[in-house]
Amino acid sequence: MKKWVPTIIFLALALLSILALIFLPAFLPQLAKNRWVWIAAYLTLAIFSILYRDNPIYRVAEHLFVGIALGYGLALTWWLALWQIALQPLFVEGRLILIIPIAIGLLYFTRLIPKASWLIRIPISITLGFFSGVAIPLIFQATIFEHTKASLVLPQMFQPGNPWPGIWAIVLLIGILTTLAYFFFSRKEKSVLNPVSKVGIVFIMLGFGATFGLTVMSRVSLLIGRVQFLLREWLGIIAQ
Amino acid sequence: MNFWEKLGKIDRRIIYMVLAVAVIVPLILTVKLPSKVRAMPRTKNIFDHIENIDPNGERKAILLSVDFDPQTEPELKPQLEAIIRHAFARNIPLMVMAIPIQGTDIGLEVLTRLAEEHNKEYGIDYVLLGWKPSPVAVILGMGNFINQVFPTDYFGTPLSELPVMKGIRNYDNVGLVMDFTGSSYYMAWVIYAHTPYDVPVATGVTSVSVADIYPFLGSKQFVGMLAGMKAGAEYERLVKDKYYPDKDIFLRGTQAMPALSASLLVIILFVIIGNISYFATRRKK
Amino acid sequence: MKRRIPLTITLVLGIVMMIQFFIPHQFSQDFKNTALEWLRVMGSFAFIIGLASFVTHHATKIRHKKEGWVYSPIALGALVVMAVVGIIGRAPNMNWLPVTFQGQQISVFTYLFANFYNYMMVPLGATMFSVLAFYIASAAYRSFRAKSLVSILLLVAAFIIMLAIIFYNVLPLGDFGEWLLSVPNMAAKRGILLGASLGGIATSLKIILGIERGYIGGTK
Repeated sequence: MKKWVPTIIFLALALLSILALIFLPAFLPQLAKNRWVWIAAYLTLAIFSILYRDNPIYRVAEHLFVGIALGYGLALTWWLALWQIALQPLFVEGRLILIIPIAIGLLYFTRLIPKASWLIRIPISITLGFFSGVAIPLIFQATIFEHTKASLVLPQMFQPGNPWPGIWAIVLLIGILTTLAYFFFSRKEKSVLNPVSKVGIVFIMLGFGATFGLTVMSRVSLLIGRVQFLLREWLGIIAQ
Repeated sequence: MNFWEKLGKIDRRIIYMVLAVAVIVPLILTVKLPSKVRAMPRTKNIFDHIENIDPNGERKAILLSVDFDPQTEPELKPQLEAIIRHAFARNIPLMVMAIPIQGTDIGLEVLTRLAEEHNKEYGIDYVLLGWKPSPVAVILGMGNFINQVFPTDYFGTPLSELPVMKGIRNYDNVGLVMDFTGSSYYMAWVIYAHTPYDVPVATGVTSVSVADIYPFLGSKQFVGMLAGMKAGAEYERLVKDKYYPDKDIFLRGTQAMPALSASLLVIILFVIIGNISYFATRRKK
Repeated sequence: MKRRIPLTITLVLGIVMMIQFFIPHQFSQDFKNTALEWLRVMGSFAFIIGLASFVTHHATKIRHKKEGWVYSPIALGALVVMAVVGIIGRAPNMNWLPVTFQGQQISVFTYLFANFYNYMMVPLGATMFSVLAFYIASAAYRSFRAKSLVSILLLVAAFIIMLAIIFYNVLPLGDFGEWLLSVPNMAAKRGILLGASLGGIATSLKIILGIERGYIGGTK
């Protein structure tokens, strides 16, 4: 009898939830009238149930999400990509040249044929080779050049009444060089006794501390968003 | 276990409950909006840049890329809404696209709702370009010809038939590219749009990425940055105060600020308690 | 042969595109733009890799009755339903089985697709991420200890940033937080960016030159 207790409680809760979804909005006007909002709220609570402990309700919601997300991606890929830029231009507009990229793209499907699965390397190698080649000069320019340029300490940063931009630019340059030194020296010598690396680690820790503080703010903002949904759209406790 | 040891071993479910209360209570209690919002320079720079875009000039359009998914909506949607409202207020032609596929429907929902609010017409004031595969190929391709990357809009209408696209060929006609992302798509826009084509780029990000983007602000590769929910609230306020002072607009980001402050205080408190316990028990040993 | 062809393609295309960057001639630009268009078309078919992995993983789980196999039919079923509803519902001018929604007649497939997205996919995804807030609070409480100078620096920086957010109207704290982000943080992040970019360029070169061969898989 004892082993049926969780199942009975679950079924009772499920029944109560369904009855609440169907009947409560009629009695309490501030609750959401759109029953889809109730489904969204229940799914939200199902995911939150992981905070108590791992349970079947959470697992069902998790697997539902994964399936729906992939199905959504498939449907939009079909219309926005396969149809709009591959099949429609070929079959409706008559752009026969597109047979070449479509044929190469179809090689991705050889993933499903074990004997021919090596052919998938062809579209992958085309994509990787092309984008690696494109990326190298652009990344050089966008990161190495631009950021080396931006790290320079220039005389015009020291204005007569306001030397601080120049002073901070020097601190910045020291920080950049010592950070790089930390990463290079920590590989070879495995010792943080090197004074340059020690200065570097001060900057790195301040940087990571700032990142951590901002990460906390970010995660909490996401939680607030969900709670806003539950309190506004579902329960109507806070104003719309 | 004595008191100090217990202090360092509070059950995680109690922490969860206290955090939940810190989030729920400030949201339920209506909090008065601050009369003046101090917008950070990184936020104000974007505002000023959009203020200087001439809707009838050569660089007349704004391209928004909704590079986030529902997971990071609470931080990024307020920013997206605020920028769209600003573009609508200034009658700047708006193009909206997405790099990750889930961004399209987020963009569609926000655009449809705000266009109705501000009496803007699809195809005349704004267009939803949609999504195409291969992010780098999309970003690079638009530097040559936007119509080649997006032959039709999200709904299948050829771009050449839409009045809003008149006079817009590529990045040379774009006054600002702004991407909203919860991951690192901003790097792709800097490397593949700003660097080769010199188009002004700004970004709206979740707070996680803020610290990493400062080097790009320093090198002026970004016009500005909207940092998380707070920047969304700042920008909402800037736009409302200048263009819609009397309009009743729901300021999503602004409403969340008290709850954000309360929950951060709770987390700081827990870290302090944990450290007190650590030092107290360490001394005993 | 099965390895030589892909490696040769990568080498040739990589070098061609690196050189193309420096050639402003119209032919070079046309080549690049055509190649970009073809890559977008090719990229349309790449979804099959993810789809095949997903279906194989769950089908294997069901077949061998591995741990948690009872949930796999839910994932597969949701995939099929959402894909079918979406492919039919998003077709232009779709009006099969019309229903009235917000005063308009739309297909039930369109209606379902929109609602599955707005009221199932969005809340599920958003809530999964929001749970992290609780985990980060618990983790910060349990493990964020000021044990050494290095960890004290981390703690102080994190506190300054969080307090600057809370009290952003109190000028000195907000400005100090901004200084922390603009000077020491920027220095560290720029140093890391420079190092990581060099690493990224090195990896791209290794791919082009065939030193890095992970993308062509095992020894087949």
